[in-house]
Amino acid sequence: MAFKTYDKGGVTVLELQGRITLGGTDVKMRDLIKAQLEAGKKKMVLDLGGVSFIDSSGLGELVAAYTTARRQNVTLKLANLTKKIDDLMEITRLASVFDTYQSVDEAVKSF
Amino acid sequence: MAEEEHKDISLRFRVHSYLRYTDLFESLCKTVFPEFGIPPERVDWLCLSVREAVNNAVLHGNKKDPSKWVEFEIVRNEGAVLLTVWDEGGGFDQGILSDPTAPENLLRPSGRGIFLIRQFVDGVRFLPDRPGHFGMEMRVDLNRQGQSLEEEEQNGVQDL
Repeated sequence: MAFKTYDKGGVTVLELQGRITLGGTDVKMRDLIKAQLEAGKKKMVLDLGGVSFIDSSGLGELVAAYTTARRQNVTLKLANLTKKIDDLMEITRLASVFDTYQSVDEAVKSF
Repeated sequence: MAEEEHKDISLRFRVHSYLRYTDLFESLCKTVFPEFGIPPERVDWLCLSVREAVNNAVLHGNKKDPSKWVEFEIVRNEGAVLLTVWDEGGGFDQGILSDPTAPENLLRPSGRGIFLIRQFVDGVRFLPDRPGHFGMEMRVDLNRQGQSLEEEEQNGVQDL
C-alpha cells in the first residue's frame, strides 16, 4: 500500500493506494492515521480513490480509526470511494457511520 | 454427434497456517472462477469471501499455529461450485455470531468476516467433520434457477 499526506485548506488529506487487507497493510494504515493523530491534526480526510481492495480487517481498521479520532475530538471523513468499497460500506451499514464524499474537494469544503 | 463436455473439477490444496497464503488462494480463485463462467463482477466478491474464510481458519481455527494445516477445496459440479476451507480447530458456537450491522455492533472493529461471506455466496455450511477438522463450505450457484433448497439440509450439517 502506498500513501501520500498533504494539507488542503487546513485539512490533512491521507491519500491511500493499493490494498488494505489483514496481515500487513491494515496495520500500516492504522499506523499512518495514528501518526497524524499524534501530530495533533484535527481535521482529516482519507482519500480512498486508489484503494482497489479492502477486506473485513481493513474495514475494521477504518472503524477503529474513526472511533479513536472521535475520542480525540478529531473529525475523520472519507472521500473518493470506489464502487466496490462504496458497496461494502452500504452492505455493512458503515455508510451510516462515516461521512463520505465524492471527492477530496467536497470533503474538505464540508468542514 | 458432439461429444459431451465433462465439466466437473475438483482441486484441493493444503498449506501451513501462514496468512501470506491468503494471497495465493485469491490468485488461484481469480484464475479458476472465470473458467467456471462466473462473471467478472462476481469474481472479486467471491475472492473476498475466500480470503475471509482462509483468514478465519488461520487466525481462529488454527490460532496462527504454523504447524497446523489449512485446506482449501474447490469442487465444481453441474450446477454449483463448492468452496470449502478446513482447519484443525474445534469449530465454534455459531450462537456467538452477532449481526455486525446492528446499531450496537457498528463500531466494533471485528466481526464482519462471516457476515461478508454470507452476502456474496449462495449458502454457507459449517462442517464439523471430526475432532480437529472443521470446515466452512461456501456454495456458489452457477445457475440459480431450479436450485433445490433441500440440498442445504443434507448431511446433518447446519446452515447459517
